[in-house]
Formats: sequence, C-alpha cells, structure tokens
Amino acid sequence: MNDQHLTEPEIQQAADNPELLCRAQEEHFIQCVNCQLKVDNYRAIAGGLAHMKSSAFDFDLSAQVMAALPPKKVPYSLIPAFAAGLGALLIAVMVVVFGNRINSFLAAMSASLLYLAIIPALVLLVLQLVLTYRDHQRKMNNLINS
Amino acid sequence: MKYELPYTDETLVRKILGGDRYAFHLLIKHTERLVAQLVFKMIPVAEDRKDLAQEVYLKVYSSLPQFRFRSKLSTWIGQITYNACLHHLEKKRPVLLKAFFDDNEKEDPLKFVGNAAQPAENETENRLFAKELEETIATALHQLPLIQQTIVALFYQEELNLEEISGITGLPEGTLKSHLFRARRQLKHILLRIKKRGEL
Repeated sequence: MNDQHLTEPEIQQAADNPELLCRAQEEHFIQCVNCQLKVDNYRAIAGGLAHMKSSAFDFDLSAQVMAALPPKKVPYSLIPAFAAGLGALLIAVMVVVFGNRINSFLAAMSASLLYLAIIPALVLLVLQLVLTYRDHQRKMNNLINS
Repeated sequence: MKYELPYTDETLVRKILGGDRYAFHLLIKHTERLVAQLVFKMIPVAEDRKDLAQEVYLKVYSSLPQFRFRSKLSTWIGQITYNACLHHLEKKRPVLLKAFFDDNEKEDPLKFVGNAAQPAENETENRLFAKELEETIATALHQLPLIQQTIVALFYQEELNLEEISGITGLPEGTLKSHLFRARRQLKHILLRIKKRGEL
C-alpha cells in the first residue's frame, strides 16, 4: 500500500472531485481509513453548507421596488410627426403650383361662404387647444400625486 | 427555494424594456435570493440592507438598456449588488470595508470554542455528520472573514461556479479557490473543536 497520506488540498479535492486523484493517491485513499474520514468530513461540511437556511429579506422587496420605479414613459411615435410633415409638404406644393388659382378662387368667393369655411375651422382649433390643455393638466396632476 | 423564471434572459429583458412591469417583478423574484445572500453577508448593519436592496434594483432597472448579455442576467445583477455593497461600505462604513477584505485568519478563530490550538494534521479526526451540522454550521460560518463567508454562500448555497462568482466579485478564480480552501479548512477545525467539546 502507498503509505503517503493525502495532503489537505488533495483531501479537499477528493471531497469535491474524487476522479481528479492520480493513481497513486487513489490507491492510498481506497485503503486509508484516516484519509477517507477526512474526505467524509469535508463532504459533510459541504452538505451542511448547502442545506443551511439562506438569508432572506423580511419584507416584500418586489413591492417596495415596484412602488419606487419611475413612471412609465409613453413611447414616442414617429408616425404622427411624419404624417404632419407630409401634410405640410402637400400644402406647400399646392400653394406653389396652384397659388394663382387659389387667389382668384378666394377673390371670387362670396363673403358669407368664406366665413362658413373659416368659422368652423376656428371653432375646431379652439376645441383642440382646450382638450390639449386639459390633458396636460391631468398629466401634471398625476405626476405631482405620484 | 429558488424562483424559476418562465422566460429566457433575452425574452425577459425585451419585455422589461418594452415597459412590462410584471416581467420586472418576475426578475426581482428570481434574483432576490442572490441579492439577499450578498447584502446579508457584506452589510453587517441590518438597517442599511433594505435601502441598499431597493437601490440595487432601481440601478438594474435604469441600467438594463446597457446590458449586453455577456454574462447571465443574474450574474450581472449579482455584480451590481456586490459593487453597490462595496460602494456603500466605502462611503458610509470605511472600517467595515477594510474588515470585509481582511481575509487574514483572525488572530484566534477558534477562541470561541476554547483551546486555541488548531488540530495537528496527524491528529485523529472525529466523524462529522451532515445532519448534526445543520444548526452549528451557521455559527461556525460567522467566524470566517466576511469575504470568505460571501464566497462560501455563493458557492454552496447559490450553487454558482467559480466563473460566475468571479464575474460577480471581479476576483480571479485562483483567489476564489484559495478563499474556499481556507474557509473549508477553517470550518472543519471549528466544527471538530465543537464536536470535541461535546456540543455537537
């Protein structure tokens, strides 16, 4: 029998990965009760550590974090901006191409017909402004309350 | 018990970045055990832990767009936690920061179990049984330097491999092996002393 006892690092290695022992070490280990006991002790410690109760928070961490997260950002969409740009471009093109005709059309138009077109447009514009302002106020209130 | 995620890291990150808050809740549930291990081992002052844990997850939330999947998501969160704990110690408790890295075996790690001398290599060992160690091992573990307690908890309780622990702590694998070797040896000596005194 190889009577060279395993060193402390070898004992720990044998406890973790017995297959890593070289032939001479394995030969000794199979027959040495003392080395086997040492390895068993390390295995018992590893088992004890693995089954030890884990540290845990005594409060609901998830609820606490979720409450502290910043408010959701509304994702910015390029579609409305693109549509507005395209509309403006179309109007500009029409003004350039049909500018003279539009002028003569407006000049030929009677005053009452002109008011009939302008007044609804103004009413819609004012309504849109009021709605936008209210929406802004609601968002600001939500932000302040949160 | 570990909380298993129903998604891969990629899916989870995509959902969170898309504004899915429930996905972030799942991520917290999945990783809070690891965060708790690190915070409890590294921050000895109990009242600091709650704010620190919250701070960690807020940092995770704000830094998620920068996550590049070079490691597991949990390892990345562990790394953020480890660094946040170090930063906290450095800022608020510099004495404890020094103590955390002080891996010199305490002048007498066995003094709480009586005779200070460690057993000689050729001393006959008693047999330790895993079942009887369950309660005593926590007491013995607290006698180790904090850095060793942290590494042992990550290795045995969280079942992380050396590469993952290295990813979290930034310590080379060789250093981790050395810490683990000394921690196990120290634990064995402490437990054998306790056994000898008949308390096990």
